[in-house]
Amino acid sequence: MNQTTRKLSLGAVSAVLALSLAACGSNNSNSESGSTGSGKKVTIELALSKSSQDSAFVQQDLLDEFEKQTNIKVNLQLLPAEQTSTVLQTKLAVNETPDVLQYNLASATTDLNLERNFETLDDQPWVSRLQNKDVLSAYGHIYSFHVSQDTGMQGVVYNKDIFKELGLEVPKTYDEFLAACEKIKAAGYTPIFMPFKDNWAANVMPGAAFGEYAAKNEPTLFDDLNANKKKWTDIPAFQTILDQQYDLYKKGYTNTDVLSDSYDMAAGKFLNKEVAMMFMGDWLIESVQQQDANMNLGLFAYPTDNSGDAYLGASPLGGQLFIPKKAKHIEEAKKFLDFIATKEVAQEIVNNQSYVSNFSDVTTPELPAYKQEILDNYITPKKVAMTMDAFMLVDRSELYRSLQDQFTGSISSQKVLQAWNEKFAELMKDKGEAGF
Amino acid sequence: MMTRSKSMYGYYLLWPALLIYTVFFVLPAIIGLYYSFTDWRLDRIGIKFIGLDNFNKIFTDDTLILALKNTFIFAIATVVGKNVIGLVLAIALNMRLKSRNFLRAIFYSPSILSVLVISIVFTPMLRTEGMVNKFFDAIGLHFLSQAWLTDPHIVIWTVALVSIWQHAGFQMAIYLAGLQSISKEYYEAATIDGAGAWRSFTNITVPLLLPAININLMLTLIGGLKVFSEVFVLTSGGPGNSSQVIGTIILRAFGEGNWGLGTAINTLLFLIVSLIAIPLLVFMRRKEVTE
Amino acid sequence: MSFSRKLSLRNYLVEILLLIACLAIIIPLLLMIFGSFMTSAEVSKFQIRLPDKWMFSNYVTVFKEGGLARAFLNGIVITGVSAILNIITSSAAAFILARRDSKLASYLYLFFFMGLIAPMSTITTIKVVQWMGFYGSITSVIFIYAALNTAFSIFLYSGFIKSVPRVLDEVAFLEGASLMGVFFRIITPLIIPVNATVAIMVFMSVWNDITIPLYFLTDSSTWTMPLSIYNFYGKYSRDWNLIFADLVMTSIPVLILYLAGQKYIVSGLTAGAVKG
Repeated sequence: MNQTTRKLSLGAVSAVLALSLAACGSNNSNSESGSTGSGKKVTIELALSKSSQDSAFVQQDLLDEFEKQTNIKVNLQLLPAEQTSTVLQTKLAVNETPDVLQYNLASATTDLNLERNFETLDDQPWVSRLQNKDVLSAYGHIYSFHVSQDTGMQGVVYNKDIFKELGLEVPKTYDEFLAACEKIKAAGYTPIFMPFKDNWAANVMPGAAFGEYAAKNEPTLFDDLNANKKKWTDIPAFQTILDQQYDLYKKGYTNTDVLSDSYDMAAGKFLNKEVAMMFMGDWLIESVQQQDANMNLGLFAYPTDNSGDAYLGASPLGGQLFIPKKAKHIEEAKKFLDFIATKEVAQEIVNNQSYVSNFSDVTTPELPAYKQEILDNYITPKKVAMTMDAFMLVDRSELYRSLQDQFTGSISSQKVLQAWNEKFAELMKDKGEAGF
Repeated sequence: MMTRSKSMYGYYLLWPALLIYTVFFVLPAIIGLYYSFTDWRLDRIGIKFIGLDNFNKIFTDDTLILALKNTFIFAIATVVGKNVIGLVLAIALNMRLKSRNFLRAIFYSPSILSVLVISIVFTPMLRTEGMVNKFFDAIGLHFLSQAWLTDPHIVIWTVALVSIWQHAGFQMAIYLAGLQSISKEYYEAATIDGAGAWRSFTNITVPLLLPAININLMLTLIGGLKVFSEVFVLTSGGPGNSSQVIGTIILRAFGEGNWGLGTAINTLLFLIVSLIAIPLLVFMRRKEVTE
Repeated sequence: MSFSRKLSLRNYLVEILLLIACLAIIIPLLLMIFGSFMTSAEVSKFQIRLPDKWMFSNYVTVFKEGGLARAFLNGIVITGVSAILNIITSSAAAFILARRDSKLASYLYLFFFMGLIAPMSTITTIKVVQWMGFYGSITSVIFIYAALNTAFSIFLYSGFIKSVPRVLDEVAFLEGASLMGVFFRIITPLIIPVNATVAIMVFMSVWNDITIPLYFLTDSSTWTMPLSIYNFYGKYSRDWNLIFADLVMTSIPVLILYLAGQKYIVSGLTAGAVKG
C-alpha cells in the first residue's frame, strides 16, 4: 500500500514535470517558427467575434488556398460575442494581440483606441486600387481592410408577402404606419419583432431616427453634443422618438416578451412567417434569404412623422480587418490582406456576398432585388442619413441598457435621456475630450 | 519535544504551494491593488497616480450602488436558501430510504455542471410563456407566474434561485458528511431521556453539526459576495442595469476602457468580503472551541 | 412495534416527497438531454418530451464540427495536470501547517485562507505570466488553476491532517524516516479520501471554466470543451439541438469522475472540512 502510493505520487510528480516541459517546449517552438518566417510554416492568429463566423474572410476554403500558396496557416480565434471587446481590449493592453482581427471600424475607434494599437495601412499595395478610402479610414489614415464599400442600411425590414396578402402599401407617414400595424395584428401576425434582450437592438430605430432628425434639422447637432455645447436632454425630438418605440410595444404591436427575445431568433421569426416587420439593417434580409431564397423581404424607412419624407439610416461599414501594431507576424498578416485583395479572390468574395466592390478592378455583381430597391428609392434620391452611432466617440452600451430600462416600465423616455446625458458626459470626460 | 518537532517538519515541503500561490495569485492581486489608485486606461499612454479618485467615483455612481445592493441580496438569499435546503435534504437523505443513493446523486448532480449549462437550460424555461410559468398556471398558482428574468424588481432573486437550484446539493453533501460523523448513541440516549425530534435536533444535531454549518456558511457567503458567472450568463446584468452585481460591474468598467476603476472595484470587493468573512471566521473558530 | 411502523411510514412519506422534489432537478436536465436528440426546429419549442425521431447524428456533427476530440484532450491535460499539481503541493503544505505550532505557521495559514476571499485579478495575472515569459501556453494556465485552487485545498487538507495523531509521525521519525518519507508513507495513504475530494473539486472547477482559456490561451486550438459551445451560436440563429448535444458531451467526463469518486466525496468532506 505504502509502496504503491509512493510510486503513484512519484509518477504523478514526474508526469507534471514532463507535461509542463512538453508544454513549454511546444510553446518555444511556436515562437521560433514565428521569427524565422521563410521556409517554415508560420501560423497567424485571426480573432473575431463568434457572431461574425460567417464572415467571407474566414471561410475555410479561402484559408486553405492561402495556406497552399504562402505556407502561412491562419488559425481562427472565435470569441464569444458578449466578451469580444473585453477580451480584445485586454490583449491589446498587455501587448499579446492576435495578428489580424475583424471588428467594426466605428467601434474600433471608440473601444480599441485605433491610433495607439493598430498599424496604418496607407502604404499597402492594394490601397491604390481603392475606390472609397473613407470606409476604411479614421484620423486621416487607412487603418482597416475590406473588399466592400457597402454601408449597412437601417430601417424597417418587412415581409412583402404579408403586406401584399393584406393589401398594404409601404407606410409613408407615422399614421399610416400605425394603421398598418393594426391591420397586421388583426390578421393574426405579430406586426413588429423587438428582440430587446440584446440591448443594442433597441437602439436601431432611435439611432437611425436621431440621425435623420439631425440631418434634416440641425446638421451640427452631433458635433455640438460631442463638444458639450448641447445636451441630450435639450432635443425634444429624441424624446418623441423614444416614446414612439415604447408606444408600439404598449399598443400590443410587438412580440409580448420583448426583453426575453434575442436577435438570433429574428431570422426564424421571418422564416416562420410569424412577424411582418422589424427595426433592423438590410443585412438581416441577406441572411434570411440565404436560408430560404423564396423569402420576399424588403426595407423601408421608418416614418417618425407625417411629412411623408422618411430617411433610411446609413450605418458605417463594418467587419473590417485590422492588424495590431504589436502583432508577432505583421508581415504575414499583411500578406493575408494582399491575398484577399488580389483581383480573383476579391471578385469571388464580392460575387458571393453581393457586395458593392471597393476595388477599381473588381466589378460589382448585379444587386439582389432588395438592394436595387434601396438604391432606387433611397440612395439615389438622397433620402439617407448617417445614424447617430456613426458620430459617437464613446461606447453606447449604457444608452442601450437605459433603453431596456424603458421597456421594463421603470423609467420614462425623459429619464433615459437624462441617464445617458450623465453617462455620456462622464465617458467623454474620462476619455479626455475637450469641453467636458 | 517542541524543538525536535520543529526541526523535523521542515518548511521546505511548504515551498512549492507557497511559490505557486504567491506568484500566480497573490502577486497579481498586489499589482492590481496598486493600479486601483491610478487612472490606467486603454486609450491613454502613461499611468497617473490619482489617490482615492476611483473609490470616490464608485460611491457616487448609482449603478454601482445598485450593484452593491444586488450583491448583498444575492449573498443573503443564497446563503439562506442553499443552507436551509441543503440541511433539510441532508437530514432526509441520512434516513434509511430505499432510493437514498439515487436521490443523493440526483440532488448533487447540478453542482458538477458548467454554469453555461445552467444558463442555456434556464433561459428558455424562465421566459414569460416558458415552462415554469406554464407549470404554475396549470396547477392554478397564477400569482407565481412572473417575468422572471425581465422584471427589474425580481430578476436578482431569480438568479439567486437558479444558483440555489444548482448548488444546494453541494451544501447537502457537506451536511451529510457532518451528520454521518455524529454518533447514533447520542440520539439513542436522548430518546431514552424522552426527548422529542425537535429537542434532539436543537440539542444534539445543531451543536455537533456546527463545524459543517460553519464551513457551509463561510463558503456560501464568500461565493455569494463574489458572484459573477451566474449573473453574467443569465442576464449580463440586465434588463438595463437591474441585476448588476459587483462582479459584473468590474467587467463593465473594463469594457468602458476604465481599467483603473475596474481594479478599484475589484479591491473594494476584496475589502467587503474580508470585512465580513474574517470576523465571521474568527467568531466561528472561537465558538467551535468553546462548544 | 408501533414505533417502528410509525418510523417506516414516516420514511415512506419522506421518500415520496423527495422523489417529487427531485423532479425539479431532473426536468431541466431532461430538457437538455431530450433536446440534444431533436431536430433544430423541434428543439426550438423548448418542450419537455421525447424527440419525434432520435437524431443521434447531432452528436456526430457536434463532435466533428466542434473539434471536440482536440478540446477534450486539452481539457484532460489542463485539468489533470493542474489537479495533480494542486494535490501534491497543497497536501504537503497543509501537512507542515498542521504540524507546526508556531506563530509563523498560523500566519501562513491565514495567508492561504485569504485566497478564498480575494477575487482573481485577470489583467495583472496576464502581466505576471507575460513577464515570466510563458504567456499563451498551456503551462501558464495549469499553474494559474493550481494557484486558484490552493486555498480551498489547503483548507481541506489541514483540517484532516490535524486529526491524524502526531504519534504516527513520531514513531516513524524515531525509526529514522525522513520528512518526505513520513509524508509519503504515513500521511499520503491516510488522506486518500481528501485527495479524491480535492481531485473532483479541482477537476470540476477547471473543466467547467470558460474565462481563463479565453484570456490566457492565445491559440484557440488549445481551448477546452465548454468553449466549443460557441461554435453553434450563429449570429442569426442558434442550433439548440447541437448546443445541447455539446453540453451533454462536455458534462459527461465530470459526471463519470463524480460517479467514480462519489463515495469519497462525503468521507473526504467529513475528514477535511467538517472535522477540521
